[in-house]
Amino acid sequence: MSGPAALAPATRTPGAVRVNRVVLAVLGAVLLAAGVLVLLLGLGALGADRADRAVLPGGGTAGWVAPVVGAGGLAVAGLSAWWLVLQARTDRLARIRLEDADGGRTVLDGAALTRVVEEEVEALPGVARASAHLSGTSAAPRLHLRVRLAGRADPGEVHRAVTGEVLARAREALELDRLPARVELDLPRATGRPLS
Amino acid sequence: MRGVDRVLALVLGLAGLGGGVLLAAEVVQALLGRPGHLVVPYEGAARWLREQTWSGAWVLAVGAGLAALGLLLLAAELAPRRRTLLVVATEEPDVVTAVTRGGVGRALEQAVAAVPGVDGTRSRVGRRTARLTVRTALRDSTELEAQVRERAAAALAGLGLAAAPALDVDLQRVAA
Repeated sequence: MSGPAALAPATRTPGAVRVNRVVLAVLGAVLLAAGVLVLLLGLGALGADRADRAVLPGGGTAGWVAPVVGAGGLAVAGLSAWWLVLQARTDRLARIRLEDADGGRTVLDGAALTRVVEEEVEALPGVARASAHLSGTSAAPRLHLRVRLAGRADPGEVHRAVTGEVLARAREALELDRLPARVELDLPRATGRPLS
Repeated sequence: MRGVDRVLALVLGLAGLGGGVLLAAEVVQALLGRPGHLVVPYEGAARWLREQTWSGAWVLAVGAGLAALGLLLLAAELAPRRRTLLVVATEEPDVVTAVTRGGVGRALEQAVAAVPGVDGTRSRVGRRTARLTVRTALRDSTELEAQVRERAAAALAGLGLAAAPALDVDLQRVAA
């Protein structure tokens, strides 16, 4: 068995998750550095005379300060806008283009395919609910499947049925030899205690 | 953490966008030589900052607060993400199937709930150990424990995990 034995849950926006983590870590480092600098200044570690100076020096500032502060403001605004836009970017594949042997082209609606997959999985014994989506590219799509099992289902059985029948049919529909898939199974809490 | 990150991204992104534009607007206002502020009444804050020295109690408190907040954020973002899914062993190279840890725990609880003498169950599943706590009112519980252990082990084996956590059954006696 290759690959990890444990995984983090899949996300619709892997790019945003990564970027958020990096941006917030950098922000944390900047806050930490600023806080430490203020403490060092205030406690006189950078010279006793500096500790007694005003935080904001009185009188006018040098001529270059104001434009630099303004440009900094615009830069922060631009980066923030980029960060906000990024939150909406998903890895979902809405349409799949199939190239025929004779040069023809068919466009397949991703939602139509995933709906069929969902219905097929929900028809399996022991499955309460299924949701599917496609990611990647038209040439190499990936299928993500989230399956909620009903009370007394055998996860192994469901796994076998999904990998055997459902994925084979999806590969056929997409005219692909390979369709990498990730299946997340969840078992709900049984409603009420079973009597025996 | 992803959800928290997402909320922080939206709040800080909006604040950065609005704050940055306002800052630039105020600078332009000042550069044009117009007196007073455009939107943000910052004169009071500037006056207060001119009166404070770096060694002032308030300034030190703000510095300590910033450092603590930064450290907290940095630690939270650098901590490894929880892997809440346990992978099921498979022969298919292209398919990865995984069960949620909560789901594994519920499967164990369901497997033993019907055993006579079991009054209640609780589970806690990690990557290395799965702890199943069973409450019982039985005075002599040796047989029950063996039965619970056997059924839970069978349920865990039935999931076919690539690296199944070690099973730890804990019996709790309650008054009948």
